[in-house]
Amino acid sequence: MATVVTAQIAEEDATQGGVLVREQVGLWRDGLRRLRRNKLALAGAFYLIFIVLVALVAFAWTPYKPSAQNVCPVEFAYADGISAAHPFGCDPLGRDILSQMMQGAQISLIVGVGTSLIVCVVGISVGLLAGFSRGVLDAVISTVINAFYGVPYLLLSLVLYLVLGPGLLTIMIAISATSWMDMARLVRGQALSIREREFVEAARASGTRQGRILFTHIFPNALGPIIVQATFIIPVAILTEAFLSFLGVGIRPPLFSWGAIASGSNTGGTPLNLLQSAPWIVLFPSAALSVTLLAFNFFGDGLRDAFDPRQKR
Amino acid sequence: MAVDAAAVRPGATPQPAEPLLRVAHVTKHFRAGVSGVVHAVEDVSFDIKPGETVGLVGESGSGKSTLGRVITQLVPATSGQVIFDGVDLTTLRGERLRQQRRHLQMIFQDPFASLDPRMTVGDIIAEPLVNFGLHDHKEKDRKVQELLRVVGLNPYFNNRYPHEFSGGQRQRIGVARALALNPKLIVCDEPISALDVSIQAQIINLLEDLQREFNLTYLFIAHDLSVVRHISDRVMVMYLGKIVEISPSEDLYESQEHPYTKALLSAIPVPDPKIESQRRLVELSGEIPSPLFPPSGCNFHTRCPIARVPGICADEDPQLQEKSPGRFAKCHFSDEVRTKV
Ligand SMILES: Nc1ncnc2c1ncn2[C@@H]1O[C@H](COP(=O)(O)OP(=O)(O)OP(=O)(O)O)[C@@H](O)[C@H]1O
Ligand SMILES: [Mg+2]
Repeated sequence: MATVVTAQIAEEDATQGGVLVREQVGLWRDGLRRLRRNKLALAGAFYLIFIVLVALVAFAWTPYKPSAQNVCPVEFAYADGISAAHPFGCDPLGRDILSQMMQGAQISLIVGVGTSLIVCVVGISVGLLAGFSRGVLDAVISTVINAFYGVPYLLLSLVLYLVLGPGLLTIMIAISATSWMDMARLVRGQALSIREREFVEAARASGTRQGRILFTHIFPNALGPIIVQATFIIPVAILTEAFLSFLGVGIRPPLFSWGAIASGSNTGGTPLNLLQSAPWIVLFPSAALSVTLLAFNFFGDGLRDAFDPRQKR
Repeated sequence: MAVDAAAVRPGATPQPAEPLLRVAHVTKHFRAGVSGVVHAVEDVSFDIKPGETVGLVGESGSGKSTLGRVITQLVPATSGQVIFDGVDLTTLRGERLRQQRRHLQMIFQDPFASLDPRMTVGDIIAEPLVNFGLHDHKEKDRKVQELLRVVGLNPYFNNRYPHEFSGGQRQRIGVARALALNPKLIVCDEPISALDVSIQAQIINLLEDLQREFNLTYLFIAHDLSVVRHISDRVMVMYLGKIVEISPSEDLYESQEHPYTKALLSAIPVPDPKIESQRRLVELSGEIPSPLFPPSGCNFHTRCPIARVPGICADEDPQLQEKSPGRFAKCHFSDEVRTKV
């Protein structure tokens, strides 16, 4: 028998040589290779790395204390706006905008990533439970999910703001509470379809227990879409935080977020007269916000394409 | 050969030689829509002896995979018994069923879909071992490499992923996984039909080598009689959820007891042009009927060249009967198959 088998190896090696000789490449590495070819996604990734670095630096150092007043003369700020000492200008209370924006980067990333993590934990658990158990439990969970779609996020944010008080956690809870459903639905759908795939049947046939099937077959195969979805939640959370802060029910002094800076709510002014008298106060944080949202979306699109199993590039 | 199949007949006395697998009156219905019922498998009975290879042949949709999945208890039977090694699997649930699985493995039709793309080949082959308590890493690696060697793959491929392999190599991985637990019976569900013709013979040879080496018993599913011809000791022909003929394979290719078998054989070209030109071919009229609405009486009567319609064929479902020693057919007029068809 041994000779038969070796002969077969030789034969198949000859015909399938290309496949065998190829260096070992996992599916993840295949995906990363495709991601690296996507210019927009790559640009997005580099910008995001830059923002992360800025946020990290801001923990240790900012040009001025973000909340320190009169670091530049008020008259000066309004007359010239931008200077070497204050590249992004100052606000009417004489605080340095660049310093505030560096802190804003921290806030944005914490809110974005934090919310995404909460959504992942809740959405993945709920989705896997629903999709894997099917039946009554699935029906109940699906009803709850649909009910949550009816909750208006602004109202919930206001209520939580009043109940829990202002703060990062309040914002993250408010945003998570109204955005975990997409993740749960995605994971449920993935679980439902993956559990019908033949390799799950094969696993059952070889005596694999239910729990192990869930964690070693279904979850890893759903991970690609989950990561993509988690990436897309980050910009949504960042935008929502900026909007809430802009409205004055989000981040409050002494902390600064991009939305709060742009609103001028820290200065007592309104966005409209700020735009006339000191446009940089509105424009710089808005630009930072927009570019960050774009970068996350480009990166997310790139991820989605890279990990789409139908892609064979 | 005659003896064990005879036990299937109602009223026949049980035979002394214990079959490894006894399928008794197994029926599998699927619900379709609100009130529809797919009659995938209808009252199927047969035995498989230890060490035997039984071929199961039929057109697409005849219920072969469903029968295989009922035997391996991947789907529960609607009724009937699957007695494996003396235990009725249909009565087992949970952990007790899981414990039986180690003796009863399956090789799947699609070598691409049946391997988890996110797992390494080593993890795929080790999974059955882990399920039954092998956790030591060194021992696991050693067993995986041994299994890879046994199925004719490079033992150092264990860290690779399935997508790096060709169809034939993947099917070898599937074979290694099925072998891992040293099972008694392997249900091979069209293990070669997704493969290139050039690779098919290699996999068949591998399965035959393994059978000799490990004393395996196979239920070998195929949709084509030519494939099961030299691997099977006996062949069962299935049509629309029912077994219509069971016969030792050397006899089946000589003469047939059921018109459907004859039609299936007609579809295989004979290499000798002289015989080919003299052969009387049986063409089947029409498509296989939907298992949602199986025909009355003998369910083959809508396509049968010798059916009496209207008459007994449309009214009465024939039993699977022993027509000559060891040969069973489910036909009212099997005598005519040799002469008239
Ligand atoms: N889970 C299911 N739900 C409903 N109907 C099913 C299910 N599985 C199989 N069927 C139906 O049962 C019938 C038999 O299917 P089965 O897969 O057993 O056929 P098969 O002989 O294996 O065909 P093939 O050669 O194409 O693999 C088909 O009509 C199929 O549509
Ligand atoms: Mg099938």
